[in-house]
Amino acid sequence: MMTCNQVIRKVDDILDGEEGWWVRLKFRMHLAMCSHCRRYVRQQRALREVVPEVDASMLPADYETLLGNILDSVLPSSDDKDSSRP
Amino acid sequence: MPGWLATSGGTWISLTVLPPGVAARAARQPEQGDGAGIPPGRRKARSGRPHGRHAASMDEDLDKLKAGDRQAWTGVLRVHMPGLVAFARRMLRDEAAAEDVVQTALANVVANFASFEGRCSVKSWLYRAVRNRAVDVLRRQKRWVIEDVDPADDWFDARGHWTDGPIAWDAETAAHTRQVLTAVEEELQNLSEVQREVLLLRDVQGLTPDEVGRILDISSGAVRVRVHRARRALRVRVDARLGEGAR
Repeated sequence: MMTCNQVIRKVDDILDGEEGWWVRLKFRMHLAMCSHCRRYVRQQRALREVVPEVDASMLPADYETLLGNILDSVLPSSDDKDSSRP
Repeated sequence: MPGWLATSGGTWISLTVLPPGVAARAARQPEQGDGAGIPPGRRKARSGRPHGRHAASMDEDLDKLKAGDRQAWTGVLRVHMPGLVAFARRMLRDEAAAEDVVQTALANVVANFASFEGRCSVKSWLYRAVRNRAVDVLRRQKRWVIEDVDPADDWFDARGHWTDGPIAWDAETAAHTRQVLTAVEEELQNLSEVQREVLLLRDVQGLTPDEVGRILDISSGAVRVRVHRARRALRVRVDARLGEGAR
């Protein structure tokens, strides 16, 4: 029988599908009897669903300038190639 | 309660109807589990090995990048820069410094891409460059704190049973979900840098453990351990905000 400590350390692996059927069975058996761990797993699932909702993309106001600066600093633009600079 | 349909190939299809917004991010979502929180199968890798015509196209793209093709680089940077900027901003908690880091790191990558050996994806390579530059800045500012404590060490008695049990809160209603999201966004910023970077890369940017391992120069097993600890550390902070007086 798994202890509560073992259960909460296995939660993420179980939710990731990283554990085999035997560990999953012992995990389920523990959850069937332990309301604390059931609550923990329920909350952990909720958190795991919410964290990827955190804004993963941020565009600076002068995004095009930033992009241009990066490329201009190392790659010549076609305009640069064509223009005859002194 | 989400439902699942088993296919003959051993995979599972979620019958859950995702609400708008969540569906749009479904590609980055971990698999849903059953009522007990147990998923029916392994989480799908977010990036697989390319094959066939796709692989040939990627090789062609790599050649263009190595040759310094401005158009090819513009395409790559347009795809990845929003994520890189978000990652750098959350790492540094300073908008201007983050943009400076992204600009310097990416210019360096573009300039030296001929030495790219293809051992990882271009995306991992870009994140690695930005992450290393951000860590340099944090170190200079003496803000790089290597603190990776597992809060769960204090949750149980000698027999491995809960001493108090988890604080009560739920995220089953839309209002609660918004509360949890707000708490997560704010408390992410209060994690130690080591825990924050691994959560940002794995859970927010959706990189695989292998990709995160290549970025941080650690094994994918070590990534999993760090991610699990970081999730528990985040959870403690979220618990404290959402569960005040609820125990």
